[in-house]
Amino acid sequence: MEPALGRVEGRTPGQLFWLRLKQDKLALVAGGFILFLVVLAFLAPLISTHVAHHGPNELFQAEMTDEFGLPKGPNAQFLFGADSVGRDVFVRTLYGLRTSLVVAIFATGIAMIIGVTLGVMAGFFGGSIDTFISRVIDIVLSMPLLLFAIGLAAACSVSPEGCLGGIVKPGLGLVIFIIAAFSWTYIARLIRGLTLSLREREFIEASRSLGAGNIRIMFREVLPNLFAPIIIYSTLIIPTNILFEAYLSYLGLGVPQRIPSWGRMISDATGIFEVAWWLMFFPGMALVLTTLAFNLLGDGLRDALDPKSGRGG
Amino acid sequence: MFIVALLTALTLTAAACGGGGGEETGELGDPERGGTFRVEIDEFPWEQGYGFDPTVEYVGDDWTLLKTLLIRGLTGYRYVTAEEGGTEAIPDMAEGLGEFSEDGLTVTYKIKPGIRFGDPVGREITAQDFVTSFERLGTAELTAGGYANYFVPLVEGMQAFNDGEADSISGVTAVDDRTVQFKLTKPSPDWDFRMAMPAAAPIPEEAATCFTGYATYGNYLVSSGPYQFEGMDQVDFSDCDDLTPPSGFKLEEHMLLERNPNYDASTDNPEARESFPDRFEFRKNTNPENSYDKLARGEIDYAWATPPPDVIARYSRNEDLKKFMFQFPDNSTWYLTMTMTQPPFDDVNVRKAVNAIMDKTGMIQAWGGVATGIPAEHAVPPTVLNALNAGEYDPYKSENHRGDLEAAQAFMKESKYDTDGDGLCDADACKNLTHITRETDPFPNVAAVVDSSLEKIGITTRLVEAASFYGAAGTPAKPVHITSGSGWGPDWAEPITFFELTFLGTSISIANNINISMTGFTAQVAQNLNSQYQQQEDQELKGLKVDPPAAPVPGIDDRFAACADLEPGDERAQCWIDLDMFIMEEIVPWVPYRWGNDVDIVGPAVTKYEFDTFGANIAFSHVAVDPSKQT
Amino acid sequence: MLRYLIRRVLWMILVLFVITLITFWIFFVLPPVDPAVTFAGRAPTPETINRVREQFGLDKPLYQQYFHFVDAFVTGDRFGWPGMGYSFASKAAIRDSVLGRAWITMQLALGAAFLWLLIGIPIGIISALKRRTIVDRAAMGFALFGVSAPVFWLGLVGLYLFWNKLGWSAGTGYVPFGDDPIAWFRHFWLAWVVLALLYAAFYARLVRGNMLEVMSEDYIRTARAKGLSERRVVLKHGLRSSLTPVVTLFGLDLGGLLGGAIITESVFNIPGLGPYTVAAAFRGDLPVVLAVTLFGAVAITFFTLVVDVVYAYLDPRVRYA
Repeated sequence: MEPALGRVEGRTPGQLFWLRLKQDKLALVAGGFILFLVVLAFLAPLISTHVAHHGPNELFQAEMTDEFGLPKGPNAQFLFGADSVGRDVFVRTLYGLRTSLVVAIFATGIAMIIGVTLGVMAGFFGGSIDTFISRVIDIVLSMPLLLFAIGLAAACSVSPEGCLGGIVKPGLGLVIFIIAAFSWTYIARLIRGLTLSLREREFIEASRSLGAGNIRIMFREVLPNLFAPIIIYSTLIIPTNILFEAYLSYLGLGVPQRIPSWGRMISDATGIFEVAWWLMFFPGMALVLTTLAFNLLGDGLRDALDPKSGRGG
Repeated sequence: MFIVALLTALTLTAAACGGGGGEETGELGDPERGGTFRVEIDEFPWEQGYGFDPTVEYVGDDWTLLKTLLIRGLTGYRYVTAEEGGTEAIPDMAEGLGEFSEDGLTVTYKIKPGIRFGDPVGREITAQDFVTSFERLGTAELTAGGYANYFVPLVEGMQAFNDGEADSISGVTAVDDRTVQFKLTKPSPDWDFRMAMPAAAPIPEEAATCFTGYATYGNYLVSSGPYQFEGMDQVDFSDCDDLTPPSGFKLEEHMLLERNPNYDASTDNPEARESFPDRFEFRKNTNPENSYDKLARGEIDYAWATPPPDVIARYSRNEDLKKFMFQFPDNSTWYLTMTMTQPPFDDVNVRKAVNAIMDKTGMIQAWGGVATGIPAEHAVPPTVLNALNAGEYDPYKSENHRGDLEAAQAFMKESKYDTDGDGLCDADACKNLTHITRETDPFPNVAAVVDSSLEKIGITTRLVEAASFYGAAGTPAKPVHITSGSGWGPDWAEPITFFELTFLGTSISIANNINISMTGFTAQVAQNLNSQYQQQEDQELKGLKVDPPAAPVPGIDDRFAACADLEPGDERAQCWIDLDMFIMEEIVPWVPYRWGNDVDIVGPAVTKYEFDTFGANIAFSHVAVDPSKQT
Repeated sequence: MLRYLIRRVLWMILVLFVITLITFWIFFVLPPVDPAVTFAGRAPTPETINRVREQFGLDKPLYQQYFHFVDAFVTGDRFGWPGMGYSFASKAAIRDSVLGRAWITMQLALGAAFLWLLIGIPIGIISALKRRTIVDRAAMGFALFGVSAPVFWLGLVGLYLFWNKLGWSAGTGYVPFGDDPIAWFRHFWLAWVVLALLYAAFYARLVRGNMLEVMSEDYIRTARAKGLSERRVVLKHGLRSSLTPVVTLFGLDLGGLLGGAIITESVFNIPGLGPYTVAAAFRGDLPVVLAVTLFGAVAITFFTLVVDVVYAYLDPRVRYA
């Protein structure tokens, strides 16, 4: 939507960014939804105690499962029904939100840190450092990731001490580690490319001619310019990582049962969803809506940053 | 008198039928010869590492396949329910059960004439073929499995052969072509049961020479029974280096069986094998729910798995489908172990409290509902003890087996780990215990119920869903607190096999240890284990140590030996019963929670079903199909 | 050109070497459980464990095991070429299983790839050309759904609808084309669609994004100013630059998929590499995992190599990078 003609104001890139973003209704709705989810995640314990009156691991087998071990569906006390051992699906979906967010954010965060560091170093220093890092990225990209994930998970879930001397314990930590280890390459490549093009720009030259050292340039000049792409690509990687956790759960490698996870709930539902539709529907919907929201927000951010690749709206 | 007889008959029938479908022998139509019986399974039993090699095979499902379809031994079973005589050893290839000498140290069998191997060997089976199979059993490289225990110490000269000091086994002789004689080191009244195990079946020397590697013979198994692998006629054992497996047995894809052309049914017992179908097909389906959909449509005849709860529910509630579902006790006990060397389980009061609080009904619901089993009340199932039926002896009784908080608290108050006498375990030793379970269904759900019960008496756990259960729980040098992934079944229908590996101090092994609770663990046992750990070449196991017990750990080694020495009969049976009760009340190493049922659902084309209590499986030797009803 | 080729091949060999080393480390060194123990049966004696270890060749030093593995792969063993040994669990020769299953996975992957390119790219192009219209919104909505829904959920729902209820699909399982072409198709089509949906959505978004960027470049405006038809502008100038990143990604994706579309194959009971390898990894069946990993890595690096060589041929500047 073109701004109304009239006063011509000079706007900074930052202001332009916000202006464009504000006009993207869909992205705003998505962003709002995500904020809502974050608040919900924080409030999960309160809601489960005061609204649902059930904990996420409390079993209500006598009330909510029958003699065949089949669960009962939504009713007044159990808004989303119960699962095969009589746990409250509503409460678990809520707590599952925390798990998905924690896994996605931490895994993405770690991947980001590794990816940005290596990408900036490769792009900035060039030469043999760049070659080495690029080669490492190539190798990682050539590896059958899921297979290695299985191997790591199988090796590290044998005993409670985990592996690598206890750094990687089975459960949440392992899942985050696996996802982070396999998603940093995309970032690294991207950041490397951006850094390469930034390096040739004049303000870097200017800074250098003033006597600024490499570290200073990297932190003062390069990184701030990478801020926007970093945010954007994080937002776009988060939904992929949320799905990755779901896939790991389906294969039996996800978080243990005590920690509710949408991926695990969906995978547990695959056997009986024909008679217990709620087991698949609610966590499934939650998964789709959340990933959708992150994707929309990410798209919106990217369009706002660079209107040429706009989605419109 | 008549009323008494009627009531007795009714009680017997009620006990025999597990509920669900048809009578003991499921007559679903008119069984006739012909047709192909099609089975789907999501993972083949021989993929656990034994390669279907009878000299090593230890998986119950493979025993069923081997004995009902492919191989015959000197003795066997009828492959029917216990009520119909399925637990009795009967002659198979032999004319009668073993003839024992006066001192019980010599056993002789006469082989029936006219029993031949399948393709490509084809010739009549002789006594020498049993010498061959026993030599394989006695060869150290070939029996890296559990069988060595059952034969090597019992047969004269077998230990020497095993150690490489002799080049034949003095205790196994082919007196003539049709007579086999065994000389034992001590009397073994259950010898006929041991001869019924697949490892004791005859193996032709022509084939055996080619298979000098562990678990390699299975792919080329030469049949001595009613069926053989398709394509065996193309196999040529004369050049061992150039062998190709038969087309009918691709270890990871399928097993296709056709009739053994040299099988003579007149040499066999129809009570054991009826062999209706012309062919059997065993194929994989990685989507088990899909197998049941196909089953309902008649695309397959049997799905070899525990049916999911919604399928059980559907078949139970539908009058037309009910008759295709069968359930029978499978003689197994599923149990929790509590490691008695680890606090707080070094205190018997805590162990009793855990028994009292456990919600066994909940655990069975988590397993898949009431069809899958009944709450276990003591260690050995009533079908194995032939006594102590459900309801007759439950030392930790509770209403509907849901657990009794008051009783549990009463036990806990006696324990030093209840520091303030409120009936809850509140010492530090009660928190964050290591709980190992299997990661496959339904164990995580069952473990959730266990944890929920434990919380009621103040015990909290850290649950690990292990990909390899024995890897995580079976190394005594790396002890855990509580496990919920164990089940046990008898190797033959005698209680002795329920105590040996599970409760004897001498059975504790350095890895894949069955006696996880460490019953009977003494300083001597610790010493032996440590020297065994030293012998290990591998870095993972070498140098591990077990600490000798801080406090004496109760055991049953002496009582077990006393019972094992008794002659078969009422006194021996009572000895085992007393031992079970002793374990439940004085030692308390387990919380038994489920006596399992085998639930089988067959397709609409199946005209006959039978349950084999030996393998605790469908009896393939008694099934039949009607090809016109197959899709 | 030749020097470029040689350099790339040498690089490929190095990559494979590193990957096998890492695989070896993850599966042989890392696990705290000895595979000999896993397969030694219940309550084994120490002698038993030692013997099984010898049988599996695990008693040799690690570097020897590694070299033996590489040597067998490259020169073949008693089961054929390439030599992959036998499975610890089933004792079956790995080579036959891997080659047979790889062929089946390839059928799944190629079919799906064909579909996702056929659907994804045109949708991306049309969306870009008709941006901000209903067509664009609908297409991107579909695309967003595709990248947000988990594959196994799609597969299960698909089976329920199209096999159980409608009978349009022949359901799970695999029938070789030679045996019955119609059954082959009826078993595969649903799996192709489910697998393709995810990638189609991703590629549609990618192509659209690239097209939009490219379309606003100067040289496109020049072409328009020259009076070329819109169609010519799009197809001749815009498409080529938009598609280059797509081709790179395609090489990687296809290569990766050939490592086994694990989840799709499990849900549809397709006897490909996927479930076979997963089961082996869970069981600790090391030779299988090692063999499949190497096989998959070879596939990926080979495809990347092909793509790079094609680039180098088309764009000489690349050769000197």
